[in-house]
Amino acid sequence: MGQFIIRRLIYSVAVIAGVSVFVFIITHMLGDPARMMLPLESTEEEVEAFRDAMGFNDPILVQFWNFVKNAVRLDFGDSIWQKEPAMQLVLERLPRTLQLVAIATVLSLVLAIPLGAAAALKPRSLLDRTCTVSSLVGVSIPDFWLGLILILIFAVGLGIFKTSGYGGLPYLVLPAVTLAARSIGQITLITRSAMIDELNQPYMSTARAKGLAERTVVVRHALRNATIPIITLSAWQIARMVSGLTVAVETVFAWPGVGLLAIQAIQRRDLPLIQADVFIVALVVVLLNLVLDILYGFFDPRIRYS
Amino acid sequence: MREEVLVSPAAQPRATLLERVPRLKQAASLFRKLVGDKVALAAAIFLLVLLFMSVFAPYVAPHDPTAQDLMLRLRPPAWNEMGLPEYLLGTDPLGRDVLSRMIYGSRVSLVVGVAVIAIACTFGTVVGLIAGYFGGRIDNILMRIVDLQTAFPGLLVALAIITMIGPSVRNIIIVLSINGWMVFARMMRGTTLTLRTSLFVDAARCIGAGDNRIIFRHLLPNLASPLITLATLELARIILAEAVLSFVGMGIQPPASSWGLMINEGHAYITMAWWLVTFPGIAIALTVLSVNLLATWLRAVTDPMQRDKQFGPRMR
Repeated sequence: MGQFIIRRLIYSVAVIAGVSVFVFIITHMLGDPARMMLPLESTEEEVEAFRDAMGFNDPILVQFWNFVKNAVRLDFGDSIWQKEPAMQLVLERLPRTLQLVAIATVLSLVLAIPLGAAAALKPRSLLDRTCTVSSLVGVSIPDFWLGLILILIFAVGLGIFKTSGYGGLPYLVLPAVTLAARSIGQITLITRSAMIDELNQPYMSTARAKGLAERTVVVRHALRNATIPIITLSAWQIARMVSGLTVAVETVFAWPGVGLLAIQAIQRRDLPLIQADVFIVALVVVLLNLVLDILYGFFDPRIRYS
Repeated sequence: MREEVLVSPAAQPRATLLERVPRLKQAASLFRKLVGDKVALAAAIFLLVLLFMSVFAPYVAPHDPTAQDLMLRLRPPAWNEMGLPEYLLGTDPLGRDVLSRMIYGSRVSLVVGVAVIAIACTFGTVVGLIAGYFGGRIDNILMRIVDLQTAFPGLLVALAIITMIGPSVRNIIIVLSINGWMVFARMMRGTTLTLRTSLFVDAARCIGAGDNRIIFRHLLPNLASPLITLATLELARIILAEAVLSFVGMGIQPPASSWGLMINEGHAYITMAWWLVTFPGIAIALTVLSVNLLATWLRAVTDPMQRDKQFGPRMR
């Protein structure tokens, strides 16, 4: 187990190194960072002076070394927009995004697993068809649009929730539901399909034959064995939410998380802030995967040795 | 003597076109199955109509999508009291026709979707085939690269790249392709690994076929059906991704139109003009839903193992 964790740790460090190289290439080698950050009407001398001050005139390897040195200390310089350390701005916003993701995840698991299991128990029934079709619809609806429609109905029309902003339940419900919609659909579909697989296994007959209650057979035997694909998909969903799905949803609801911050940084062409945002989000995703991998290895010994 | 034994092709009873070309026969059987499945048929017809409308947009669209008329701004759909019959789905804040803009906008979704799939699928398939077929060190290196890129925050990286190289249709296609090839590589590698040791590959090697011939003439055709299914599923994802990019202002730029951009433009008017965001959103949702339904159906007909799962086992 110890060796397994060490191997995963080394791998995570490699991924983070890869991400930083990629971030460096994007921000320093594609396009002209100085021209991008300065106002359009700046003169050639101003641009040149800015390049000198920011070190964009140094040889690319020197720039890279400085970038790495600072990245290790999580220092990406001051945000041009807010005049504060970019990293600090991102870290302030991070918990709000994680809060949204956590609620959306709990919501989708609580709704989707019972729905998918119920659908699998009665294939081809009305309930099954309704579940499958509405899951497919949930997977197909663009989340930012769903958010706008929910605002139109529940905030503008009925006035139950707030249209946008950060705060307690009235602010939280709509963005969380919006974010959860797609993963509810996907988790329902995978639960249904995994359950159908398990329900057709011979051990189900054994369990029934030895007189176990149907409830025990379904929950203790079938559902428990179907959890691995469900966990895998949910983990993947969480990573996807953190690493991008929140961008559109936070923009719609003006929820001040890292996704909205990324858009604000991009609109203001605030390079240090963009770098810090991408880097931190990547770091969170990598850490998340690391924890999940270790949990997998813990629960399923087969994974440890492959 | 020999002439008598050999029957000349002309003397044979004429084989129908379908029998002579096996691919065509397969396609015909697939078509019959499609007609039999109402849901999949509806999805296919919707996509065909959409394709027709986007190709012939100048003839289908009732108005010029960029023509502004401030006298006609923010008119609701035609069935509304304030609506005008010639502006079926209403007008936007600049007095442009919403329906015409949607018809032209469909071009973006389809062009970006198809182009990204073509690039990502080709690249990913080649990488996956090489990794799976040759195995060993090459496989290891290629798959580590795939893993590495999968761990990236895809959309954020895409946004960052677009910020640097500027938003345009070409750049959106590039960025989404960078983001989408890994899935294909992974799947192709997995399937190739299982086929590599199969009898027909051994047989091909025995008659002296080279690596290239085995990969492209023997392995690839056998990988076609899972590949097509995956490509369809990915198409749905790509259409959504383009909509998100345009919605946050990093995709298609005005005055051109795309469904995501229309929702972005309508966002500010949401309380006074519901039709601006509603119709483009429905268009995206219906398109993606149709593609998803078609992918689900494709998987069910091409992979019998999946059929029971899809529709539920018949016998219990």
